[in-house]
Amino acid sequence: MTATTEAPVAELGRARLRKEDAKLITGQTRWTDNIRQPGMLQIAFLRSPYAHAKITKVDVSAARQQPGVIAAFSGADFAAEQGSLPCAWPVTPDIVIPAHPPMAVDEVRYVGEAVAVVVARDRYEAADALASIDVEYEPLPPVLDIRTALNADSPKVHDAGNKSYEWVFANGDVDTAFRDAPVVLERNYRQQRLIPCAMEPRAVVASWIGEELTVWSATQIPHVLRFALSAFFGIPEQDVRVIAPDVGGGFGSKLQVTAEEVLAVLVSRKVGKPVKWTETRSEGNMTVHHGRDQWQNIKIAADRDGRIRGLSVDLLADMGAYLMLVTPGVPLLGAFMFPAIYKMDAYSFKCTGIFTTKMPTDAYRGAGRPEATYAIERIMDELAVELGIEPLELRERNWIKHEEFPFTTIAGLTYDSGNYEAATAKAKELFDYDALRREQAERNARGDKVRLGIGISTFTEMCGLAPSRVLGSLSYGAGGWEHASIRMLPTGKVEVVTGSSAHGQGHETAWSQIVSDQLGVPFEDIRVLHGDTQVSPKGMDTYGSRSLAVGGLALVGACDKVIAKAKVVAAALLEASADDLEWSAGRFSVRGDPEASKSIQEIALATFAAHNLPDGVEPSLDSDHTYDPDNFSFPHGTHLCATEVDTETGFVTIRSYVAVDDVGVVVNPLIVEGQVHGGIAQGVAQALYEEGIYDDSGNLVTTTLADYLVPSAADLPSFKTERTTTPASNRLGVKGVGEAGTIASTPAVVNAIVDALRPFGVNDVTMPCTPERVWRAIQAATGNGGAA
Amino acid sequence: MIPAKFDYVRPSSVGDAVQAMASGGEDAKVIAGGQSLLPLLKLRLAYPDLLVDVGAIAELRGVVDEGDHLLIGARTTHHQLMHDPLVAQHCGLLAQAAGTVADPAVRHRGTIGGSIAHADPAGDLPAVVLALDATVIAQGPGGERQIAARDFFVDYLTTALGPGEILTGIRVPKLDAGWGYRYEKFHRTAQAWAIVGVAALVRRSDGQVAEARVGLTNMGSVPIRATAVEAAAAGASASSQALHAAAANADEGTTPPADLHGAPDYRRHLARVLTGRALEAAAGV
Amino acid sequence: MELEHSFTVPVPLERAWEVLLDVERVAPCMPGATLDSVEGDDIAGRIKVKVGPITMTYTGTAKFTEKDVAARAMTLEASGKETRGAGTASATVRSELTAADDQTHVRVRTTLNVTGKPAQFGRGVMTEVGGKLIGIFADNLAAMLVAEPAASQAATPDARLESNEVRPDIGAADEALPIDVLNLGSRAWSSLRRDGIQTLGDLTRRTSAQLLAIENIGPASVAEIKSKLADRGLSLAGTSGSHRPSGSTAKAAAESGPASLRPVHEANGDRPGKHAADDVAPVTPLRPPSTAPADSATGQHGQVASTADREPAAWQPQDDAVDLLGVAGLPVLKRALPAAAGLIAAIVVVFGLRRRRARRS
Repeated sequence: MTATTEAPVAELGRARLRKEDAKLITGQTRWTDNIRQPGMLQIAFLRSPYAHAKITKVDVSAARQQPGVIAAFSGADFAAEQGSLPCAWPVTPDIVIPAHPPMAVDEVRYVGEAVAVVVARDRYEAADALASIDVEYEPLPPVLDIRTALNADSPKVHDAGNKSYEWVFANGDVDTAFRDAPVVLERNYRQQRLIPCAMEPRAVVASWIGEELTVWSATQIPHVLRFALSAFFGIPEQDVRVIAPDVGGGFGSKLQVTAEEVLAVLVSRKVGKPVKWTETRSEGNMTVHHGRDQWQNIKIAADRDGRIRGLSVDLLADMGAYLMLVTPGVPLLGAFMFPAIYKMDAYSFKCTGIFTTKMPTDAYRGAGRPEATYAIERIMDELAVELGIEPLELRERNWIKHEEFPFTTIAGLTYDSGNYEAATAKAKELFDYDALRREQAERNARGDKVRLGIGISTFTEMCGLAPSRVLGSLSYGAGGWEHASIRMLPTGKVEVVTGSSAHGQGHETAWSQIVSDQLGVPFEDIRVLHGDTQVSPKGMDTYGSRSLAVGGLALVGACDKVIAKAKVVAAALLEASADDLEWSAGRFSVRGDPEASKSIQEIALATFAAHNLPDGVEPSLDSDHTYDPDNFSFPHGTHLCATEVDTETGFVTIRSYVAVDDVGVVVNPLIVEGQVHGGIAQGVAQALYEEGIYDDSGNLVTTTLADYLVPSAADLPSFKTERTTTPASNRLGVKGVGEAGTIASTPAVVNAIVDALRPFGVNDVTMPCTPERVWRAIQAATGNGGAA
Repeated sequence: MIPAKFDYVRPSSVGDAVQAMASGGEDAKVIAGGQSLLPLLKLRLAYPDLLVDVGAIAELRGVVDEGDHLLIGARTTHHQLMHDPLVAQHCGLLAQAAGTVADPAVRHRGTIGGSIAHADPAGDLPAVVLALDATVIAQGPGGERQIAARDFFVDYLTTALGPGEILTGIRVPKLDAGWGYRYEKFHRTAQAWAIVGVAALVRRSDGQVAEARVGLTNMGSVPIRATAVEAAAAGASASSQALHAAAANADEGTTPPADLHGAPDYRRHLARVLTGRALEAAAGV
Repeated sequence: MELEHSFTVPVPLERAWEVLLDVERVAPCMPGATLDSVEGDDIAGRIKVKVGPITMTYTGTAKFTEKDVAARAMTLEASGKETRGAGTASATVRSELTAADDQTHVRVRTTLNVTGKPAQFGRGVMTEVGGKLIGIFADNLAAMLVAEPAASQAATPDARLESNEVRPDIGAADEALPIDVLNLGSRAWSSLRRDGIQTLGDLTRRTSAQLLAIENIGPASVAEIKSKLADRGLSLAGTSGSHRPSGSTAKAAAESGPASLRPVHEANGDRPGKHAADDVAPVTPLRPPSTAPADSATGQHGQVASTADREPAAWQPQDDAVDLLGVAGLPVLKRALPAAAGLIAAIVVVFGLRRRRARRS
């Protein structure tokens, strides 16, 4: 029993080392692949080698004879019960959502689609047995380019045609704006297909005991998965338990209801034993949902002084072969972000979602917003060159001034707060912007072989998904609230149950800091529980940089209720009126009599004993709160990137990178730093290294990390990161940060490369800006046509 | 992925290893650090019935001073090459090139023998031993054999090693102080294979290049000596301009691949540019 | 992937045409290939190739889908599956022949589609390997054609004897006999009938090249026809005696290894349990080359033998796999050493669609 008297130091803003890390870095972890269940078997999937084919025969009989094999199944064995993997975001009333069987039965539509499964005693035997499954295919023509997929003569991915939806949004008179503007620029950009590469491969264990199903999965969304397994596959919700044990990174790729999870559940039921599936990296590259993949047409209309009159965006978005959980909605999250931080009177947006015979796309770090930020920041640089205005100056002429917040943009979002001036000024200073511009001018004048480029990205993003009503208006299938519950244990310790589902974000640490401040309980006395639907029964899980902005606020709401209940008990214990009590640093004291006080721990114990509670007062301080945000969260920042471009080889080196981000009030600067670093790394990776490539037959050629180049620390510079603080409009003043770095950095890098090459007449390099592409851009612009 | 089944033996002598290979037949493979072979097994592109692990054979590791040569045991790891004082002193090119291979984890397990025997033209060490005019030493059922590097690399993943022969060592002529060297590796990320690599050795004499040797990585199905460059460089002045001029024919006689990481014309261009840079660095310009 | 090769051989066009349609002669030109069966225009077989530690084995089928005598173009379409599940491959090989005096220029255009593991990498192995293997194939074809014995007076494929020109061998009575008397297979019979060949007279006025040009008539059918005609003392036009070239040149056989043509039941290699030998589909027996493996190294020409008196050569069990470098030095191979990962090239040849069990150890 404790009776704490020491007032704890404020936790908000404290650079606490994470509670999670000691276990993580010493291997005391429980990844899904570590889960063992009695009698558990391993499953392996046979996957289509064709991008598009009819399945004419699947014969698993030989596989069944292989050593160690317990069973083998083809799509026909699941046809009656497997239904369709869900799409929870039908963005238009007439959207085409094709049937999406977890295991293909008659037709395959992407390389890697599952066509059979083997169940064996161990993963080696399962892998061996795959070779003996006999599948006959009738190849069909693949559909690989969304730019031609809507042509009349294009082969069809689905009978209903290759168009899934068309979604439009407009505000203001775009036609007039473009007609009357003295300057109109049009650009086409390519957002290449990315393959999320979380460090932990996906895995799932499914186990039935009678009618009760337990699923362990490397997932970001245990609650959503539980709901989906019940709602779409008919398993009674109360009989389903989903556990996300330690999960090693997601970045959106584990925000999914996957074929493998559903099939593991069905296979386990069929064979009457727990089954496990763990992907290999090359299998994962083929079958984890992919990111981005858009062709963007963007037009900007401006005055000669640089003021933007209007913006028009036309996107073609590659859905892949099927619509998965939020596939169609991802580009639309970006729809609201093309106007970015700029004021304008007219904006129109159109997105056409198109099917191809490739892995479906879905959420990947930023989910629609990096794509939008890229296009607007790139064209702002183009506009600056066109008008002869300094690029930072051009942006400042157009952005929302600090005094103008809260500000409702042409896209209809109300940004609660921001200070673009402060962030930009800080970034310029840290970056030594003026000196670098001088150096650039000198080197250009000299005609150096290695050129210096400076790239800018002034961004905001909409995260903290999301106000439920807004989601409803976008036809999203679920809400955006989050839930937390606090349990005051008799010995004065605290259990926090959160609906957030951490997979590397450090929630246990940050939530402990918040609750410590709110309840005045020491950081070490708090345990945060999450990830298991039986332990945390209610939540909307983790994605869209929402956990702090929504989940953290739920925590605060729950703490408020605990304190309110504690006040009643404290009044009884202190024999005072509740109105005479003051709350501070974990204690209730009688006003004017500081000796007369009770700590929250004392109150908790007294509540537990319940000897002296007033009539009608429940013997419990435990409280929960479900918080639905009234707005998105709008972090912002200014990133500046200096690149050295070797014009002889095309090789790009990042010489320095400065990020000044405003994420509102910071709970734990170390965690924020980590998010910013990782985010920048992934954004740089899109700019320079990563691309998921399918060949002309529809084979994914980037199945291993030898070809899908993920940069390591050896490839990246030390980032200089700083912050400004413009509190958000919520109780904590916090904003999201998880995706901000990725959103900001890609255009900063590419703008820097193009800036370096402008003297050669280059105005774009397609991402990823490989040395070869950079070199060819120079050759093309200088009329060398690719010659040395 | 998961390899198919294989048998595994770990002999303690070269003789035992040769015997194991003989009894294993056509589908027996030597495994040393496994950094080239294991990925092939895991991707199920290779199905050796028997892996003969030479990791317990002490005599295969180590660098021995043989007077005007160094004898480097096949099992010497890249990390050991980077830090061996004899290598540093007498053929520093090998140390420098080994330091560019992949990452520290790979360098601690991967071996020079494995790298050479695997004969991936995108590997770094084959071009280096070719430029060094090294000799490969093999042991087989017929005894010991010495194979000049220029005869050793026959084709993609294919060497002059006969069935059942094991690469036991590499004999490298010592380079005296007049030689400068540079391995210029062009790759997109630190861990990636070379798109093009250039191993350059230059012997200077009175401000001129007395002799140059250039080995190219990933400009064909085998590592290639850029003999046109070597001829042009010999007698050239040790100046940036002259050396880049000599490098203009670096792509002569090459058949660079077309793949995800570079088209042939780009690779040819890179070969020319990088050979010039490598020669400059090797010549100390 | 598109690949193109061409070569010129000092062989008249008709000869080249006929030889190139002869699957049993063409197959050995692909290193590491095994013919399992030939039924009319349908061919079944497999190929195993090693490059360094990489091994790939494809089994599948091939079929002549075009035999355009007038245009001198033939198209072979092949497809196969890798036996250990590493994917599939398919190829369309179009050969165009043009005459240049006594020489023939052959242009081979191959369209290759590979799926599965080998296609899932960014390094250019496939292009290199595919190109090299087809290159060797083309070289071997050329060599094989050159080594063929000079053709006797073969009529040009589209020249027909006058309908009233009766060959000395056929009497008027025989001439009117329906082809039914030959007891040919029903497919061959109906194909001949569809082409207007009703009687033995009709039949014997055609050359074997003309017969080969008929849909669903392949070398095996032609051989059967010749054999049955010979039983009656008859023969096709344009040939003297019952004359049929051997199944392979020694050179081609040597280059591809003695394992290239094998009786079906031997095809599974020398490792018991390594391949399934038990699920062999009933097939037309092959005609093995008349040269024994021992002769191959000397580069002798294949011997001409009568179809009537051919005997299968004695077979030694040989290893399936051909190590492309393991063959004793022939100029063609040395010059164009293969970097085959078997993936692509495999298809080009003839493949047997057969269920293969994975390797068990």
